[in-house]
Amino acid sequence: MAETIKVLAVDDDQDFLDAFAERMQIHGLSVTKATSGIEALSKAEEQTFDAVILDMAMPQMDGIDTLKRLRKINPDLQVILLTGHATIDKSVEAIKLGAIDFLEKPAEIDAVMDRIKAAKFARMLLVEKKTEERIKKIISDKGW
Amino acid sequence: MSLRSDEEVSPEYQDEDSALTLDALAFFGRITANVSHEFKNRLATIKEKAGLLADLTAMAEKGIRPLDLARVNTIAKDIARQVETADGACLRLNRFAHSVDVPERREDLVELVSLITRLIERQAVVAGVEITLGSCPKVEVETNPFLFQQVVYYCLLWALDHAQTRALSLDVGRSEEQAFVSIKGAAFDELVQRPSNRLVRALRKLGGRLEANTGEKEVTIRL
Repeated sequence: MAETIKVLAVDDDQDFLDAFAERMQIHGLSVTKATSGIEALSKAEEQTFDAVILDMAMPQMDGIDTLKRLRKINPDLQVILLTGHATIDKSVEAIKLGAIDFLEKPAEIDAVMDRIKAAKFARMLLVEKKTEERIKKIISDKGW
Repeated sequence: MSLRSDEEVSPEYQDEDSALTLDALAFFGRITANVSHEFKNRLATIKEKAGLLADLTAMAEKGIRPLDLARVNTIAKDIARQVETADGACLRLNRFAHSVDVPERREDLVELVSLITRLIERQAVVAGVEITLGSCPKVEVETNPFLFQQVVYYCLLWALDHAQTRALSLDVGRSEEQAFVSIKGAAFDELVQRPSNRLVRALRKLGGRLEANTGEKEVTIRL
């Protein structure tokens, strides 16, 4: 049986977040919710996620700031930004900081699911690559 | 040419009228962008709620989970609430848009201040600041409603960036036959000593002036 994809959804709009998270759950994902950047950081420290869907405009700590800090906690984290109005400047900044994709509100659930599956796949490749590198290093260190 | 509301107009547009026109356009643009952002958020929520109804119905049809009518009713009410919120934003935008209809008319400053604070509510939320307008009786004056809102907006924008607490409080009234709007919650000395060119232009055209009350962390716009 395929492993459930674990997603962290971050948005300060509680009404939106509740409905969005429930829909993702109906579509088979395991969803953890956070209503602020600070809460998202705390959840990311507690557990590993296959993907994070992160709102750009939030009080106190915006999406870009949260992205920077999430990547410090886990550099392999696959972050998809969700925004009302994507600007080129912000998009470039986010991609430079390691975001893998953008979704514009309101988003189609199929588009969300495709991005999350791609994020999960990208994370699996990263994990495999790191495992392979570790094995190669062990072989090299042992002189096998 | 690009012009953002948080930037000064470039030097080639420094003649007063051109600069005022560009300031006005930038202000108008910023407000409409705020409201369109609010619409997007409401639409996104409505879309998710409607999608949720479709998902729940599909699951019931497939025999996965029976349809919970109370839940459907709650979601329908949520959607209606989102529509009401968006409609409120639409009405405010319409009222704001009509403030450019005539250069001067008799206006209640309390209503205008209330309108502009609601129009920048999202900016305030993102800045983590709550803006409250006290309970004020009507203050009717002959003024240019658009320019007046522009001046209040510039002061509020400055206050959001320099707020010393998480709250800004506004008051509208009359003192010595002069109408005033005060904003409390930030150290406004710098705003009054070194106001931006756009604020100076708008104040000059409006015929108003700014006063800082250092001890009270307050600025007053007098008309």
